[in-house]
Amino acid sequence: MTTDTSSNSNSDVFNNNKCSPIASNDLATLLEALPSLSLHNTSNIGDEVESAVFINNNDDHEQTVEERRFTSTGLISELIRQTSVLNTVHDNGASDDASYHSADEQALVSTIQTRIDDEQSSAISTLTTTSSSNEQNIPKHEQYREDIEQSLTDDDYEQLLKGDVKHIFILSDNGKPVFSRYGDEEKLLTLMGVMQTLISFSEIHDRNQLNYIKAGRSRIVFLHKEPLVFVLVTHLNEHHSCLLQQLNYCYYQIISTLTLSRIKHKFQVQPNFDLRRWLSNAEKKLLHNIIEMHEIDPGMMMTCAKCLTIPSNIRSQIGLAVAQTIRGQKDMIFAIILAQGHLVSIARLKQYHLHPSDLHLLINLVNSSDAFKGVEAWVPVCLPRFDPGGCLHAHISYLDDACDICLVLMTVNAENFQILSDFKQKISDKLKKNGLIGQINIALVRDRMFSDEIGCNELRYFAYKSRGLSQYTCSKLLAPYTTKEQHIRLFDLIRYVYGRLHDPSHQLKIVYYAAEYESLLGWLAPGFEMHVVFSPMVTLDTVTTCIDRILTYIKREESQLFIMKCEYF
Amino acid sequence: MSSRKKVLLKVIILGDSGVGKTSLMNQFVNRKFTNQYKATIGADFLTKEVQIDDRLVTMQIWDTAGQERFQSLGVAFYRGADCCVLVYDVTVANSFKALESWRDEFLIQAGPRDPENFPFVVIGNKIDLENRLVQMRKAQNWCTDKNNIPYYETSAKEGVNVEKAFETVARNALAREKEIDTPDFPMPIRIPTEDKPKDSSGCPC
Repeated sequence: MTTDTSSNSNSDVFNNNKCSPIASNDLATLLEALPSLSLHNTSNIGDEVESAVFINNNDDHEQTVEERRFTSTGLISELIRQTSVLNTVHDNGASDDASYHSADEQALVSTIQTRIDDEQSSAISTLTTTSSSNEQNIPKHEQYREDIEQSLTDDDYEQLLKGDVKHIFILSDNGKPVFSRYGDEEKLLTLMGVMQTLISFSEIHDRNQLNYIKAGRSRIVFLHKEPLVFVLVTHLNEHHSCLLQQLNYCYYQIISTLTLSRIKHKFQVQPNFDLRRWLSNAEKKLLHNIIEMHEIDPGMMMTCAKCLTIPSNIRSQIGLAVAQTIRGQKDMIFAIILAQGHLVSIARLKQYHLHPSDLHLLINLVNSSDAFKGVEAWVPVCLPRFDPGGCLHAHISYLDDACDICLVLMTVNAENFQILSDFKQKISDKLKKNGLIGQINIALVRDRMFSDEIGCNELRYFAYKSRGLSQYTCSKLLAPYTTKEQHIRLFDLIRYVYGRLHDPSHQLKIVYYAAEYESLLGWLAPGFEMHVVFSPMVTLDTVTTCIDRILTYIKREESQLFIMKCEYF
Repeated sequence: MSSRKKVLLKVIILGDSGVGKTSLMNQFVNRKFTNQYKATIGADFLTKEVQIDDRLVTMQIWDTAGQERFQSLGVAFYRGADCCVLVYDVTVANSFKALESWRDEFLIQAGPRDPENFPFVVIGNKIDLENRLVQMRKAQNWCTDKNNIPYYETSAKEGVNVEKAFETVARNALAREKEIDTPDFPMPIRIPTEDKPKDSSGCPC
């Protein structure tokens, strides 16, 4: 049963569960009447762009621009017709897909049930169940990937796309393979050729870009960024904008390791170049990890950073210690302290902002290698949103013996290793002397949102992004989301709601989605975006009370949840 | 960046409709031949692994449509090719005359560096047929004129010379591969002077 009143009220309610008592109009009215809301929307943060940690990035806007391309629809039916001629894509039931947005909606309710069944039986569920910590699971996933690859026979390659895993392929636009998430790309040469042909065909004939094909259960998303082509194939009911985002992260990851100008130049002088020559296993691992990270990290979805919750006076002491040490060094750009993937503090050169997606690339780099532990590493890194054409040099080291707290110093000068190494020593000494390393460790242990403080039994999870700060905070994942497959399943649902919320064809403020095992609320307000997960039978009263408490709590704790102000060198 | 790594070669087959491009490819890859004619729509792909001296080479063969109404991919298709095979039918004089324009079109569309030395191979196919119209010497002269393009006469039906022709394709493409491998490094970022702040908010894509 679906109640869709989106056109009138700017909110959407999907009920998969007949008993859910929520009606969309009520919900929107109630939420917008919350007293705590006014505090969030009138927040003065972001006005001081100068001292903001991240530039008040017009991501939402930017994404709309990127998504707007999706709205040309005539192309899709055209392409599906063409591909059926080429006999390459399964096209059952897709020919009526002239406007996939509407088709998407109609299919929604009926697909939810199958989707959940699919997931449970999918290969992903065979992942070993362990704690949800990111790093611990990566090797297991790798093992799983290898298992898939080894079990593939030549015949299986023909069936590869029919499996239930999410495929990601990267090729250069000469049709040569670069990367495949699953399977040996050498055995996928034919498939890559077909993909390249599809892309070129639409570009030549329609002067248009091929973005998305929905064919039966398959969703195929394309991203052509010369000289590379990214293709994602999935059977899950994820929104195309999120899938496109995942491909964009792959693109950024490649630029980050290889630098866009260098790739472009190489293909200019050598159009037949095989980019795999520049990608060693370490670089492929970064790609695998960024893909996996996107599936469990709401910060990548909402393009914002997660900060460590720490008292603001401690944070500013840390920031000052870093900034004062570096001050005067002309070619320094950023100095970042990370604790288990959380941002603790950031100091930077005036006028230079770090983009949240660049931060995710840095976090991925730090998390993907044990080689940085116990040593001082010196790595050239390109931050695509900062400058895709050049590279910075990162000095990466840990400040504690357990290797939880990581210091990343970034300069433009490749000769400065020794200077940065001295900085590291001084920063480390200052922080230790003032007991600040200990404070970070205390915060790491404590870092979670107590459900008690919100005091709502039906609340399972929430993520709140301050749009002005480009930062988010979220509650700790508790049961039932403590296993990796539950974790992935939850974020699949949240990404689905996110996709609905940001759908350029109908701008929504509120999406309420009563799914099989939980109810989800997505709310896009002027000052913030939040995603809240409740138990499935939650009542309207509980939802509004609970949201009110969350908003009050966040306003009260704002100064320790977020980095309100940046330090300069 | 080891040069011992397996090499991938993109090979384009061009020529008039019906000269046997798909048959040659099928004979080479699958050792199969069929008398039935099925026009290639747009493109077809096959891959084959071969050993050239001590190097393992994967050939990614892009079989194109000879019929004009299916020829639309042009640039996109030819981009980044490592070698181009030009095929004509020894029993059809026009298919031989067309080689000139196929070669020109490829060079214009693909725009390879150093077009004079781009590796081509010319194949005269269907030598098993009785009614031969294009003489071997004529074809050889044309190839010599075009900077000594290697020339082979084959029968895709009987599998004559097919293997040899494709071996030359791989060998010549590989030889060119060795010439270029320039090391290059990413450019450093320069910080602009204070009074001209860089706008890092602009979307670079």
